[in-house]
Amino acid sequence: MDSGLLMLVALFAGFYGAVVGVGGATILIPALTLLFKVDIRYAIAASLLSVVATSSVSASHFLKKEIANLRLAVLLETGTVVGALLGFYISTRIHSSTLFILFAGFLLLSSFVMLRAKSASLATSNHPWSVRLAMSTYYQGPQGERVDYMIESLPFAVMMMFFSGVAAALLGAGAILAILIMDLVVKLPFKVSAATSSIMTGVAAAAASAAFVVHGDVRPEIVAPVTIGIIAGSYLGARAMVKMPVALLRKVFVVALILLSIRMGARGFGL
Amino acid sequence: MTVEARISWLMKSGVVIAGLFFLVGWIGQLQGYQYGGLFSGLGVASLLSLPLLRVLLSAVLFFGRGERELAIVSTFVLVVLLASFGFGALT
Repeated sequence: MDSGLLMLVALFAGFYGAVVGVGGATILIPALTLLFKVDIRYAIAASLLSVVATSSVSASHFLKKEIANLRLAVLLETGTVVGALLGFYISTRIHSSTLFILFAGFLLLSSFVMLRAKSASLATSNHPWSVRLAMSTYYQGPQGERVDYMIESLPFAVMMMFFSGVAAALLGAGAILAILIMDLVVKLPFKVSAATSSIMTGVAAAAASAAFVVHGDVRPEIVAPVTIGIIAGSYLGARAMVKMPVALLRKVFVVALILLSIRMGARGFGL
Repeated sequence: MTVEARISWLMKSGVVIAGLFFLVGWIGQLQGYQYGGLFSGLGVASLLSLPLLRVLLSAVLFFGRGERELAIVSTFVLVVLLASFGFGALT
């Protein structure tokens, strides 16, 4: 295995994952299994670590730049972690091929919804919880200007995040669902959704990776170059994301949705 | 210093430390030294501990600032997260 090439692929995955807010697994798992012929369990273990790395780098940058909303992330994580716990349990009990196919269909549908929407509708009032928990309601724009926003439907969003946690543990795809919930339910600006999702994804990925660590699926010869590439790529991606136009970010996100739906569909049909 | 700034610093420092472990581990592996695997293992451990430390630090900092509701929420997340680790390891 060419570990230099592996690091370059990981660098691109980290850049893309940080820009879109979904971690690098969407690119990394197919690349490791198809290009480098890595066993799927080793690939999943490496990709989970890459999600933790992307999340950590992004959290550092987006919190410093006041784009991610930490207090909102902490609240929404209550739904995510409980969902992830249930997801682990379900994953030991059922065959998930049907869920993969359903989820692929759901992601495809979401991508069409997002493509049709020229711009997302933003919240027009603040939920009382956001005031009570002193949540931030602004972020820094590309030129450092202050952009105000509001936060809606928090109780419903926490409930929906439960399903994001289930999807994270069961399908490894919780981040995309989290962004959709923040975009469509909480009605945040897309950059805030992607940045806040970035800092949340590491929590579920770290929990999910415990089983892989215990079973010896974390291979040093794979994770070392992958993680170095991911850290460098995430750093560059997080810096680029701050300056990128929102319309372009949404398009890049839709590409991520379609890629992931293809991956999920293929897994569902046993391909 | 805000809670957000402190957590940003924690994550940045943690990633640098984990990255250095991985770099030394990778160089060691390429040179065929035994210590390569050990340093990569240290990198994995330090990287996986970061999300846990982030939630733990959130709970401590929110509690210290008298923001009890967010401190309780963070502690709840931490407890469920630890349970997930345990459950994941058992399965």
